Amino acid sequence: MILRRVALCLPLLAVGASCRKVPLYDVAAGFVLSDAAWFDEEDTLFVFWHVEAEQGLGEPSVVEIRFETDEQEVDWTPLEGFEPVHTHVEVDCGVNALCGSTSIHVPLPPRGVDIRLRYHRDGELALDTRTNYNSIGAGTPHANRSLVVYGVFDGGNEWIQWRGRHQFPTLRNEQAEEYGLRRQFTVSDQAFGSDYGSSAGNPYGYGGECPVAFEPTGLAEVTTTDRAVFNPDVLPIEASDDALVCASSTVTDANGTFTTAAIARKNPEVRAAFPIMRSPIRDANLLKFFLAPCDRTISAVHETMQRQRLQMNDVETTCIDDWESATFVDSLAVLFPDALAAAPPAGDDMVLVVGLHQDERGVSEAVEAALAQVVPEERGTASPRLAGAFVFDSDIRGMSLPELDPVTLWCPSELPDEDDTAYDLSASITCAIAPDNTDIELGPFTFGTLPILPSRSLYLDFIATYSEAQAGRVTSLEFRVPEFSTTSDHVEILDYGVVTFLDDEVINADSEHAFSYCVGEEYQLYVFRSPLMQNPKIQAALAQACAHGGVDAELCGWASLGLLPVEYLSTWHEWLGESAYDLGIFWEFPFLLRAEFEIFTAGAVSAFGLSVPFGLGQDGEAYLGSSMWLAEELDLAELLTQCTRFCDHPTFDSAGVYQVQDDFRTTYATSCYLPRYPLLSDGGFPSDP
Amino acid sequence: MIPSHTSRWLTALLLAASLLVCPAAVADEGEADETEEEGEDEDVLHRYRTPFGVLTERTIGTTSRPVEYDWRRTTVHVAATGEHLFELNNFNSLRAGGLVRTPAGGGIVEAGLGWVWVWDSPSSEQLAYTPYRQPGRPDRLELDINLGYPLAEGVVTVAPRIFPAVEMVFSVYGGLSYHIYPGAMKGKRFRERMTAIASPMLTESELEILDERRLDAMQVDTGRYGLFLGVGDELYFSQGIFVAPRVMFAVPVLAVAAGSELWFQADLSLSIGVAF
Repeated sequence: MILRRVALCLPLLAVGASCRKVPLYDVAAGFVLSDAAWFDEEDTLFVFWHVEAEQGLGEPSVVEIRFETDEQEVDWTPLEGFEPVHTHVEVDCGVNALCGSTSIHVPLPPRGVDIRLRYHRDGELALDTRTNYNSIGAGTPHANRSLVVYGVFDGGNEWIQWRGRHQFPTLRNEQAEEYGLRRQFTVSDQAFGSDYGSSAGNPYGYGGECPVAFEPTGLAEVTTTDRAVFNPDVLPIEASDDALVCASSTVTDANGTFTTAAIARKNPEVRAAFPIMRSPIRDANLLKFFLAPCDRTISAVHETMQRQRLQMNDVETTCIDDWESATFVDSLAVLFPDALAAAPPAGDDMVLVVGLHQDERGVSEAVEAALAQVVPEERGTASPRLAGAFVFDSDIRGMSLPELDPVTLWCPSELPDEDDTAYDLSASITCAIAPDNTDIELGPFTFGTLPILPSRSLYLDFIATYSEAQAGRVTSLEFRVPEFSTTSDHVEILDYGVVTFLDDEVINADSEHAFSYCVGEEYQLYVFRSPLMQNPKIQAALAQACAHGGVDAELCGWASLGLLPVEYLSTWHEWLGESAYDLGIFWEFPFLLRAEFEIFTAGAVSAFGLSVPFGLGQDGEAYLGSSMWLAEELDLAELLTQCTRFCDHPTFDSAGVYQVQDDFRTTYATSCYLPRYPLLSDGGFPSDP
Repeated sequence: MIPSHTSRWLTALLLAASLLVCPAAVADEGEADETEEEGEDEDVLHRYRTPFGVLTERTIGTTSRPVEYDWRRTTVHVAATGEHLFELNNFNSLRAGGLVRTPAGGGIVEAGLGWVWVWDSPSSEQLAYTPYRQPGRPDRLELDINLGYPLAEGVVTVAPRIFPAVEMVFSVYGGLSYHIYPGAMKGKRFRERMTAIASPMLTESELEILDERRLDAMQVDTGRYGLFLGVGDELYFSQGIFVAPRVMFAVPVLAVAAGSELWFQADLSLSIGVAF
């Protein structure tokens, strides 16, 4: 019974609770901005306000101001009650905000400037705030007026866009626009020339005087209330060599109009210093040798695999039964040059391809010794030449002679130790494999894969479980080699690689020119050299400076070779202003091996003592050696840019902002120059923070 | 159809009941007969006489089935509606519109559409001068779906007596009201509109648009739907014309889900229409 009564009472309680009166809520209004600035030069008091609330303030709310001068006392008056000096458009700051601006003609310095929000124009309640008031006295136009006018050029330095820029102590240019302020300005009497004089402390060059020597452009007058307007016509061709255009700019204020000079400086003329470096890449002529014992058989299936991988089914076996004899290395070292000599005389560069079928310690070292007598010395010669060697060994060991590292690809090789900080850029690492093949076992099923260039033990283990059919096969083998011209010059960079000055890659420059270096997404090392850099006296002076520790260590290391990475070009040219620089490319390995193959994800199921192999084949592709020989052209257009005129002028950044204090020469020496210039199709309110 | 022997028994029962209910009338008839036999003045007794048909009619009017106008056999009702909305805030609201209804399943199903005018009261005008706001709803369309179920009905006489007796139905009502703010979904795609309609709460963009239409002291309430329960009468004339006063009360179930502050309200309405 009690429960039933409670149950009956609950709905009544709910209804009772819901019958409450609807509550009132505070709008929680507050000023975000309440700024005022009086300009003595213009007799104008600018007011900016921004009020936000948790609820919409609505049309009845008004912002009021009060101030006094020596001649008048203005009590609380709605800002809309003043006749604005300039155009102020209505601003939508959102449903819960009230914002805007106005400009009031105040001839004498105001004081006691206060702004407040009256919640309702007919009500008495108001929200007071602390007003930020600044007074800007009389002085130079570029520092003491609320608007400066300047010009910028489009990307072709043909069209001029004249811009107005608001200057307020507490507000940025675009903020003033966002609060509805629009200023009218007019540009007329445009003339071109170069010598405008210094504009130190006046970055936009506003408020000076146009030199009488400047020649009229004949361009029509332009007027706007936006922040920017393009000239109606292009600059005459006669002005191509001149650095800037000077014009009369007229702005309105409370006293009427104010006219002074405004300038438009041309953008730096920039081009790619060396747009593309091109070097033909060709398929190498292969000199094939299969080295194996002739008096005994180590493993027929392994030899078959090695020959298949190297596409050497028709190559006769070169016997190595006498590898322990004292003459073996020399005889092998003679065999290779003989093959070189027998190659077609007008042929391409060559690569020595060696299949090494052996099972004794010492054979590989003997082959290495023979290769070391032939291959390294051929690397730096002009085409046709022996670019390098590729050895497919029977064991996982790699090479022991360091002089072979830059020219020989030895497969398979060992994986480096994880903590081996001395791990170098040896190309042989590209065919490193693990010593053991790990299979995955799931009940009676076993799965595994075999590297396409395996060792004998790996191969034999694999086929014992999965059969030869699942071991994969090479379908094509290509060796890509760069063709070096007869004038190419190679400089060995210690153990790291080679710098090659391919042909006639020269950058010419005047002393007034400037360079910009930009690191791309894929780093490729380019170097340059110049006559002064090659001068022994300069090198000696540099060496002395380096010895005293006054020069960067990396710079010292390069300078001793008579060349520098291209990132130092802008600085070098700024210091010494040479007229020509050779451009070279750094490479580590002389060829690229591209192998296409079919590889299997092999499986075997074992039951009742029987094992049935199966596999899922897929095509694969591998690149061993240096990948830079994939393309014949290397794009340097963005890497290195060269300014040929107006290099000390400010310019646009990649966001399209005119960086008036950043000239090309100093700002972009070691950073990317990717300007976004104004377009004729742009609106009248460019990004100008 | 009532069988004839049952009809006779029922007639007898009704006559007996009429004798119990109206003993004075029967007594009057007996006295009249005696007077006729005695040959006294007929004008003295005539005013007490009641025709048998009228007596039968009065008796049948107390049964549970209507006989004056059978609204259940109608197809559709059309009516004009006026409504006063009693919200517990300081704004005034009136609604005018129409409704269409049809009998179904022993009850009645209604669909109504009306425009709601909202205007300031002196209190809300004063409130607008302050930094405070009170939740309310701007001018709007309201679409209602109501279900009614009769609790009591019968034939009743009306005053003045020159009007014929009418059928009165006292019903309980439950309904859902959807507040439509024309133009508030401007710029939304069809799918966005459907998603918004399914939500019990107005979207931010709708609130922004409505903020420009609100009264100065009003904070736009976020509720989109209202759930109502109430009671009402329908008085059916024999020609099919009906008058229906009704009072509905808001049930604050959806209001809580929508974050609405208007938990309670009472709507007093009067509908005048014709049943076909």
